[in-house]
Amino acid sequence: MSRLAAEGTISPEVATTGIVIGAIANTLTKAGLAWLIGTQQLGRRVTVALGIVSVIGITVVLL
Amino acid sequence: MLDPIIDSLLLRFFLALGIGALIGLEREHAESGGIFAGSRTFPLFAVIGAITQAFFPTLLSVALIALTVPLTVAYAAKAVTKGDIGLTTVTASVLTVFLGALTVHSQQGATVAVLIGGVVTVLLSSKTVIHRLVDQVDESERRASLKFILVVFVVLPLLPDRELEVLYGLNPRFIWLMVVFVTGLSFGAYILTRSIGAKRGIALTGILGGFVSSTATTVSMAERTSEAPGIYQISSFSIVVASIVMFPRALVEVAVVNPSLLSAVVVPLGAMTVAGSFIAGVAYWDSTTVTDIETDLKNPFRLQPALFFGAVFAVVLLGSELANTWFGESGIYATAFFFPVSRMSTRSHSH
Repeated sequence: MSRLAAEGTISPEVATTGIVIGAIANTLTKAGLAWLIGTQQLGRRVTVALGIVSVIGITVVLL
Repeated sequence: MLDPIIDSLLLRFFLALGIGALIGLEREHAESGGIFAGSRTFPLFAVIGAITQAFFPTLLSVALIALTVPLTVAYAAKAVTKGDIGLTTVTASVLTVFLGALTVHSQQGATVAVLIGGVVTVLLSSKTVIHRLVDQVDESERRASLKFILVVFVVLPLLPDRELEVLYGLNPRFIWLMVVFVTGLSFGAYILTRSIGAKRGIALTGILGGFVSSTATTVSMAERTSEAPGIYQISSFSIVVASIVMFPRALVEVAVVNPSLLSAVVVPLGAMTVAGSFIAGVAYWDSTTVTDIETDLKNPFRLQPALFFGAVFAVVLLGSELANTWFGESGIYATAFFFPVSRMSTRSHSH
């Protein structure tokens, strides 16, 4: 993503949004794994915690 | 041309003497059942090894055999008179001959000899500590360690380290590395839990695991939780911490690939890191210190869940490759969404 921006293929804004979306997708994958492999209690906790982090990330990018 | 060789050779002989003296002093100090070789004999062994290697390299085996004769006699005498059949001193003697030979063999050999000499001395002098540790290890832990060694040191090097057509372009060693991470972190959590308590042990696994692989940490923690549901609070702390470590890591990656982008990316990722750390702090503070958690982590090593995850990981990798081909560079956000699962979290620790 940052390489594409460096080459001028995409704008810095698009690259930033892409990187943040990537980071969020990554954390959401963790929540999914916690549900899938762990217990409900664990899944709920991890989802809430990483959900808050993701919402903050999205908000900052959109502002 | 010859001068530096002679110079270094003299130096190497002193190195051999020093290594021999180090091991010899330890042996004499240990006084385990009749010392037949100590602070004077060991340097001699090392020098014999060094001279043989330097001037009669083909005769190294002869020198070794010649030395084993008096060593065997001394060992037999010790076994009879003291009733001590310990082989440590004899083994150390043979090793010292080789270490002496190594010092003159090459630059690399000299370095290896110093390293091994030091490690061996520490190993020899920590006899009581090691024996006490071994006594604490029970049968299941012994078997777990063996399995782990098999997973890491036998299976991993055996797998080909290249993309295989048969596996749709997947690299088997790369996927097995994930299995190694998951089992290793799980095993690490078990050991830490036993030595520093469940809460701190699991928390520390999360912090350290985040630097290795956040995905592997999540999988092993989730697996531990399904085994012992009581640890879900501290386990969630571990997963959150491991996930957050990825944000600064992504920042570093951006700084390397495209520094001009850093100022834009640092705000959202920084905010996410701060918020995540705060939430993790709350989660840690909120989690109860359950004393009987310790007994809950019964199984130090389970291969099956890790293998299952390895298979899932392979499928995800294939999926992200496909997504990349389908969306290409036009659907940049969609690609970002599919890509990171494999790329953002795995690329940085794949080399």
